[in-house]
Amino acid sequence: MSKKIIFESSEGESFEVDEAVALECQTIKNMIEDDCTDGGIPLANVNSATLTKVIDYCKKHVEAAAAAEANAGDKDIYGANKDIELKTWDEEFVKVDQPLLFDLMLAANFLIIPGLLDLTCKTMMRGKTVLQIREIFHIKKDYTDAEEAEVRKENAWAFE
Amino acid sequence: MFSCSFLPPEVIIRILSFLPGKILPRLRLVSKQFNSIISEPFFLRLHHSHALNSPSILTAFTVSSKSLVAELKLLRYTKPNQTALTAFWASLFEEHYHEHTQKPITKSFLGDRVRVLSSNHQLICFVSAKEHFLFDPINQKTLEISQSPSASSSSSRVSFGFVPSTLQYKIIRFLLPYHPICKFETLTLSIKGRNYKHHLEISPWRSQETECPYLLQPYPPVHADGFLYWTTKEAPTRIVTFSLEHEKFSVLPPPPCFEDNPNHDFSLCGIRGKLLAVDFDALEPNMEIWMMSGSNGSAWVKTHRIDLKETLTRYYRAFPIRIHDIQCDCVFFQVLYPSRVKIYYTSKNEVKDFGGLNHELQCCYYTDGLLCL
Repeated sequence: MSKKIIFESSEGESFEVDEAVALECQTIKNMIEDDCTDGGIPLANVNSATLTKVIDYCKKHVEAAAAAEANAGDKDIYGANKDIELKTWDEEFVKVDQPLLFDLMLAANFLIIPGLLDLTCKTMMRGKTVLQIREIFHIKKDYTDAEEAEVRKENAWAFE
Repeated sequence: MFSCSFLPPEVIIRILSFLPGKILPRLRLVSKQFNSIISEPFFLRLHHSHALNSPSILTAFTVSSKSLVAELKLLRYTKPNQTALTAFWASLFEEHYHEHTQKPITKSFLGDRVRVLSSNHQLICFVSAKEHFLFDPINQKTLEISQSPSASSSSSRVSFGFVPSTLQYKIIRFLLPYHPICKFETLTLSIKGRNYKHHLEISPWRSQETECPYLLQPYPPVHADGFLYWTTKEAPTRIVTFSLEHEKFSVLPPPPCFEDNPNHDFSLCGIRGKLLAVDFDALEPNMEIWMMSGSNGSAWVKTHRIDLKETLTRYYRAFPIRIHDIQCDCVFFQVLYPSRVKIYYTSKNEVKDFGGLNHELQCCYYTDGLLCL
């Protein structure tokens, strides 16, 4: 019987996971090593919906890693993992609405799950225009018209 | 409505670093913060490290020589699987182009010998006896580089590569012989961020010399990830390396197959930033491919052993093959004199013939990047 770790979401809901799954998060790994996980880990800035997804992601990747270990040697010589099934799963996993994707990214950043952080970052701005990005990130245009013209002129090739 | 005013800057940097190099210049328009992130050298390094993790793009150039003018034709593929590679090679022999390849570009050169050099970064270098060009395959632009003072001397070898730590491309012209004192000239192209764009700062040619410990084979060196490599002329065969960053020679421990054996010929190739050593046994005949996996030759791994009995129909004393690409499931190579293109499939342990090629074929590799020449 493997050891269990209990997460508590911002709504106060408890989630019990195997230690191996929790170890996917570098932040939790450090806490486990420091032996301060008794009585559950409160995650005040991760809501239940996001936490469910994060746990799904970690579970899947722990299983995939175990499976890959079983057929070791199935890596190409450049070290690229050829696990196409996992890649497809990842792609499906991030087909969520923008606010949830955003929350997942922040959770991955806070819990330090490099794979999930990269995955959400990659998806975040796919096919977005400058105006859409300003909207998503709540950024106000801080260039003067003259400066904007200068940026366009310097990078004219990219706007073709 | 959700807000991201509290999005940490390191997350913004991370998001941007995964985007294609062609899109990033446009995102400078988003805000001054985005613009300054994109201009930072560390951002360029992070972007490059991600580009290296995605499969680098293989480009093949076919060179046809007509009256001292070489014509280059470019084909490329991005998906590193057996099917894509097979389609890619098939397209060399056809006039129509598959989805994996791109409409070819052509470029003419003075001088009939053109070499295509990879940097393991965004830019490629074309070198002929009379001209040097940088080529940006993403934006399909070229930049002519001035000739070195000794360019008229015929006994020289030109190399090209990229030094990630200093974000510099280098073109080096070695004046033969290399041993015992090697004279060379370097031209440095540094990537600099200036206001709203990256540009290349080109230094003048510098003449230098350094000690070289062995007599080297007179061939052009192979390049892999910021280092140049040669084999030595005298037995037992050794591998000598030149660091593009420090501009010094040193000696590498060779792979275990490099024993003094008169029936074997050893050669090196640099593919997708990796150094590979090939041990050709002329009597069998067969070839073993070894890859350097640790730094400085500390570990070598045998990746393939290919039986060439059916492939080579006559006896060759020296290695008669040019290897173009190596994947774990296949090896793409060309038998020279007479020229035939072949693919070795690892799973079936067999070599398939793709036919004769009547012009010269050179392959090189590039990654995504933010430059535009």
